[in-house]
Amino acid sequence: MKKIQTTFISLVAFAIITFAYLAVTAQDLFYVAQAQDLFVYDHTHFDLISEQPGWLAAYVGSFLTQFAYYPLLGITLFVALLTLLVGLVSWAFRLPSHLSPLALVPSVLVVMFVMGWDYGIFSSRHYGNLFSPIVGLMCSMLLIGLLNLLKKIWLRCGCALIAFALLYPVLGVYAFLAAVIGPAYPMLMEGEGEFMLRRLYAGIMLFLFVMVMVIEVRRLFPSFNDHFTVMAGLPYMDYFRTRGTWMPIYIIGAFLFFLPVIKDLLNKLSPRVATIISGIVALAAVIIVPIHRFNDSNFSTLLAVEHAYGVGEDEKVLELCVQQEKPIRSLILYRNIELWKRGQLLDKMFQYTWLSDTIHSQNERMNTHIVGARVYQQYTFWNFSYRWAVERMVKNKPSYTDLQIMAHDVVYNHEPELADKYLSKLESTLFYKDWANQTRRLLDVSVLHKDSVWLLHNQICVVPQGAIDNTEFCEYMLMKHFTNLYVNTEKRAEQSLAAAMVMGNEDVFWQLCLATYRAHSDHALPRHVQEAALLFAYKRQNQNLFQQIQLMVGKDGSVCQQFLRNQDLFARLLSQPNQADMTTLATLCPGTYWNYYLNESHSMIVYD
Amino acid sequence: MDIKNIILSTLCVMLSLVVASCTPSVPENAVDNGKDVTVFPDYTDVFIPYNIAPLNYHICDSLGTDFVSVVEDKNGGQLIAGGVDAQFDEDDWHAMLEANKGGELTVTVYARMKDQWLRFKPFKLHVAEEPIDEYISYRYIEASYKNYNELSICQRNLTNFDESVIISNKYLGGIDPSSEYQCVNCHNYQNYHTDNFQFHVRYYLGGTIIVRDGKAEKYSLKTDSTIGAGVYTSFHPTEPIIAYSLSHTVQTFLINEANHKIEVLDTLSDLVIYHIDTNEIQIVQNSFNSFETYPSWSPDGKYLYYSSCYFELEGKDTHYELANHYDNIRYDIIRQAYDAKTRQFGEPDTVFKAKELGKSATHARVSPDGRYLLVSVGDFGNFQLHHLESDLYVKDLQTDSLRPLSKMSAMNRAESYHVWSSNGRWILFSTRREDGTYTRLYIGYFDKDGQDHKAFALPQYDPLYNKKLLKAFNLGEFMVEPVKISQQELADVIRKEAVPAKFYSNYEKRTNK
Repeated sequence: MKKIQTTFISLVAFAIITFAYLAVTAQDLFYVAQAQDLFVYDHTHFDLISEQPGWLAAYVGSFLTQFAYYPLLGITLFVALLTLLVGLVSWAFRLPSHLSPLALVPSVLVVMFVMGWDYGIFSSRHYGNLFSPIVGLMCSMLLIGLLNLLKKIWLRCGCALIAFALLYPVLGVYAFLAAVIGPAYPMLMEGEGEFMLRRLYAGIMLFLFVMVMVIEVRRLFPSFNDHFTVMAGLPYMDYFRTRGTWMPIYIIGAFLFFLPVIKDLLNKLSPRVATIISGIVALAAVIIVPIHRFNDSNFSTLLAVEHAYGVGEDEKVLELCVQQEKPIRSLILYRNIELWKRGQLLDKMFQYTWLSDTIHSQNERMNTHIVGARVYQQYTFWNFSYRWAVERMVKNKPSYTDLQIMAHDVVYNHEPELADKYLSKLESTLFYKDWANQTRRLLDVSVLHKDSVWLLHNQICVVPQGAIDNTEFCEYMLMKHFTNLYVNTEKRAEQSLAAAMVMGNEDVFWQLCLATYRAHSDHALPRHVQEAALLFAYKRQNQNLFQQIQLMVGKDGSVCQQFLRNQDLFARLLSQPNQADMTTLATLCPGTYWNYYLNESHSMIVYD
Repeated sequence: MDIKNIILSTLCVMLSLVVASCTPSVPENAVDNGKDVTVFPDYTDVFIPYNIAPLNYHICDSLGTDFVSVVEDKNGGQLIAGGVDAQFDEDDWHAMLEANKGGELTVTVYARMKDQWLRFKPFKLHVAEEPIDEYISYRYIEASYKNYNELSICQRNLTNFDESVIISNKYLGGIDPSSEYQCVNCHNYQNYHTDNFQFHVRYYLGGTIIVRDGKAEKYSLKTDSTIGAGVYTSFHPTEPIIAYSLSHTVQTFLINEANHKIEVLDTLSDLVIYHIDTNEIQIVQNSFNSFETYPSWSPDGKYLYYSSCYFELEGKDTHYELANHYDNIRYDIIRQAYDAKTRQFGEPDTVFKAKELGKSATHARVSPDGRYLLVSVGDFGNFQLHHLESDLYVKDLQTDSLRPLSKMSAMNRAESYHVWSSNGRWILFSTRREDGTYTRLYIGYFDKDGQDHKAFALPQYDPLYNKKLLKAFNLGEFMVEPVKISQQELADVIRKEAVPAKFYSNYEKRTNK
């Protein structure tokens, strides 16, 4: 009884600690993993997942992943299944209670695997990655446990072969793991007869497994690349160059393979020593989790931002973005969108750094690939938003996020049949059907034409008929587009003025600046516009113009006074820039357009 | 009788009752509601071959709680399917169509609202006397821009719902970054038979796979004297010759046109033929300011048809130049006589001056009897797949008259990539009529008097398949038999080094400029 209580308490402790850890560190990760996944109740979706061996883990994993729409619910499920896995490992390998810490290792390694995900989460090609290792391992443990019920070794081997033949198509590598581990150890270590002979039999068994696997792949999955036969069913995160992410999964396989040996060795020691050693093994696995975790603040922030957009909490985005000391370009794009929505673009856009970090990732990542669809959508460029959602969907797989973006774009583009296609998919999901129903209302043109986003589109994305653009990088495309003054609206003028300042396009700036001044002569010009006007006027070395601009921005205003105080510094930086003056400028005028123009604009990465 | 038999008998009776209660019957006391029924795909009043698979459809009615579909012939024969998705028994369906060749079937849909059965206005299915070729092949591809992922060329038995993969890029690709992108495309058969056919593999393990007498070989068709490897393809109907367009293709993106998001342009485009026996590439057209594409042999093999456009290029940045004038690029249909013995081509002859009509014509396909020229006509450009305005037109080569296939084409729904069946009575074409973006295959009847009729969607077991599928069909081709070579065999050949084609230098340059 005491043993059972001890085991129960340790399981509960494991569950609580894991839940707390994930709840604190991984809510956004769980949400995004879910948003990049898709579970739809239709056979085309099933066909898509089931076209390779080991689909069951992915399919069930995808079903479970949808609950991470509410991250805490997803984490609860995740932890519950991990805890069940601990119990199953213990049962399958008949671990005595003093060795029970060993049963924790696979579950801890699964947590390690998930916490090791990087930007590959935005490029994953498989469904259900979050839960599929747990589901697969649970099935493996069940199979091993059942095989272990058979005492006669040859009967066990026969059953393992039959079970493998039946289950490899649905469980893939997890069936292989179970079929090999189930009979292997007793066959090699416990069976009767010559050791060499038993080794020979084990070899024959392994050969038969491989033959079954090859035949089944050829017969049942004719389009499956047999290069992946022994990996079928494993979670697939960006395979190339990021195989390190899989390390925990490999360790789980190796650990389970050698667990019977470890168990035998530890059983030869005293229970106390064995408990201590197995506890150390489990603790080592736990300690490695945070070490293996992908610690990248831009990545964490991007997950949080995607989570916020996903649940319609756009107001959180700005706060998240401005916390980054050296944000990636994606976060700068989001930051400017949120400033624009608040009407603060021209007052605050240069208060935050424009120096950006690259995406820390083994594989090539484009900011446009990750956030292009959403960024274009915020600016109501439906065609380009749709394009980048499609590009991502095609490269990876259909996901809730991409379906939402595509549905939204084509609804506003008034393509009702196409919208119906995407909305129908989302309506057959558990947690996106309400969103889809709401969006479907916009298919009614009378409703659409009163919608604020539609009205914004007519202000901001106005181009001559047939206008084209072939720029692959969304930031550069937007800047180019907004500095093109073939049409003008008030909303667009604000963006154009901002783009002109970002690009240092003085001609466009002056046109819009003066128009803005005339239209709003009763208001002070936005702060950054004042800064740019003074700088550009000063740069022209035309004293009259400079005087006029001083009057325009207000000679006694803080912006003008600050400029005049540092006039000599600007003169030097405009004629012969040097590092010392640039550093001085950053100290004296942080968060100004002057600092951006003279210090940061040279490193602005508009080409992604 | 022992207890075991009693239990078994009882179970059998219960099972029979369950089956009987699930078998739909024609509702009694139904009331006419006077409304047309909307079904998806739209199979109302279409002309169908007698050997086609069941036309399963989904009833688009949100008010009914139960549905029954009844197909009746003039002899009182009936075929009944229950539910919102009408899925007919294959054997019964074929028996009914066989018995009604050249006749028509009446389809009546009943819907139950509350406790009352309502009867929609019936619609007709016209069963043509001529069969359709049993097989088609097509490619599944995402309706994408630059990225692609899984591509597969599949074949489908039109008399049922069997579909199998001829070659999929998943079979070989994806093992390392260099193999991430592999494209398989442009399958084409010699005279509807599959012992001789070809397709391209691009990027990873790239080359052109040519199957002759059921045996595959891999070739590299790019030579030092040509601008690239083969693209669009036409296998000569009798000779071991394949015509190819060679092109450099780019995309340009429209900012704000909902119905026209992308334009595909050729910045270079030539025409060659490949002699399989001698492994030689022979140039047909290769002028700088002229763009030729979509070659297609006449059924007798005496003419090579193609689309051609002349555009004066400055030559600095061709992509920029063309992109800025994309709506002024228009193609005519040209043909050149070909003598297989001398390998000589005749002078280019413009058979369809689309430019003069302010239009652009592509995909010339001559009917098997040699009388009709079928083309896709859009406002400009050559990639009609992205041109919603493009429709099918037919030119009678005897009378020189031109007319749109207005019954077969849906107005402004990107009808293109059409092919004739071997008996010339059926036209398989791609269209975006369902949602404007995902290309679907439709089949239309072209009767012996040269009249077209309303087309029907490629039948699917799940009638909502096209709505659920996030991939497009393209490059539909008719075949009279299935492809017999296995994917494994094709893959083995794809893994091999390609045999480099030689340039056929005994060529007197011709130009239609």
